[in-house]
Amino acid sequence: MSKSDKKLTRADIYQLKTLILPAVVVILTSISLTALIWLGLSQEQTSQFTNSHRSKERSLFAINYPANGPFQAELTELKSQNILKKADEIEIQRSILAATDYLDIPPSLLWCLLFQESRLNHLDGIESDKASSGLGQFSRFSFFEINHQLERYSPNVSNLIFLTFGRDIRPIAAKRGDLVSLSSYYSIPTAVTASAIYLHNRYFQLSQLLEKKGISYRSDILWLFAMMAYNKGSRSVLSFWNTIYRKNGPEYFSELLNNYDFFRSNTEDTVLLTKSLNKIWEEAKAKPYARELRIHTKNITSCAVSPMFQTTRSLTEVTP
Amino acid sequence: MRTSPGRSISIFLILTLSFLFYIYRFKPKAIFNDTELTDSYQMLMRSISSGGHVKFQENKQALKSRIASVLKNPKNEDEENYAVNIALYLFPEILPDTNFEKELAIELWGTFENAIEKRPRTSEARMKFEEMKSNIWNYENPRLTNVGLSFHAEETLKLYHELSLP
Repeated sequence: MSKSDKKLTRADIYQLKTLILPAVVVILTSISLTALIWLGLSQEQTSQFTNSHRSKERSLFAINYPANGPFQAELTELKSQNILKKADEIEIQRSILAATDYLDIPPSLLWCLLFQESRLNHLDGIESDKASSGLGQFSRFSFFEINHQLERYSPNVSNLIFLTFGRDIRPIAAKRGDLVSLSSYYSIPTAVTASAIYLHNRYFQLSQLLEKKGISYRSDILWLFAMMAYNKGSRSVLSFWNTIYRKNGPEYFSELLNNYDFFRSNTEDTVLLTKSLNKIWEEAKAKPYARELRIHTKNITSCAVSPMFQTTRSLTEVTP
Repeated sequence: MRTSPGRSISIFLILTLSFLFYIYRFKPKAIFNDTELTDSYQMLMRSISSGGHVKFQENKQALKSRIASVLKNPKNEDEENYAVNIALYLFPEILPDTNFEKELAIELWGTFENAIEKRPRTSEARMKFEEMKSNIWNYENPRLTNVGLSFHAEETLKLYHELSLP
């Protein structure tokens, strides 16, 4: 190596010191600042990023419903025999879309729930002394909640009544003599709106409970539990949760609220359902009630959940 | 009549196996026979008729301590379940925090029971009772099917019906 080469090297080192070193310092400083800003974000702000990512998760619910073969066949039959009139079907659908849009309920879930409850016969029970009647099989206690207790739930729910009807139509009741009255549960928009609110209230109860305990859940799956609570009472759902939590621990329980396969396999387990309901009723009552709960849950789930998440068997095997 | 030893042994084996099969198939339930617990509701009802709401509250407090000790150290699953159900409907605040029913029980009837006990036999108490009754029905059996309410819910409603009658 020559002497002039050595001088050139020194010049290089000088250049490094004066130009490259400050550039490295600037880069390192900006990296540190970015890291500090990221760390400085509150837990809530970072979880918002997580939630927005989760909201992109594909919805469990079907866009076209009923999604299962037996309900499709039954619907075709009801329409062909004119038991379900075209005008009524359209009015039910229109009311479902309006209520579910406002309350953020999956439309397929409400439609399938009403189909399971009454086969979309809005006059169901009008000529009998059944304890529950109409599209969503309302009892006098369901009416009591809608008429007197809505302030206990989300403020959205009573606003829906004003928005849909332009005024407060309560008290709502199964008015046999005044079918056209908006306060009659035999009127389609009233029945759909009241049933949507009752379903939303069940979801509100369950979600508040989980949030207070800091337990995360997938909202689609919680809607399925809310549907079970509508059908058989919140106590059946909570007793089921207690049994699973106690038997399998918090991690398994968390899977139940976040993983559809866990939801399906556990709600199809008659022994588990019977064990849960046996904590409420004696065995002679718990057994048939558990069987009914399993069948209704399976019917509504296979009708409302997208075929993409179901096996061919669950779509075709369910007998209404 | 003489029987051969072989025949006796086979009869014995058949009977033993049948007995074992019966035990396996129809497991007899552990007999739960704590009358102090099973008579709780009748005891409270008697206290209303004999000593009014003051006596009722005294006896309810005593029952609360008894249930709390059973919950801490239950003898078997049946006893625990019975105690959990009494606690759920009469004093939900003593249930463990891990119980998913606790919070709703306090909200849906616990607060109403306290209000009725504070002002028994008034029209205000009656209104609270009607609301509590509706909450319990919607919580247990919203469709009013033949299954009806649970034994504990029914007994609790009978007590507060009595306490809230103006």
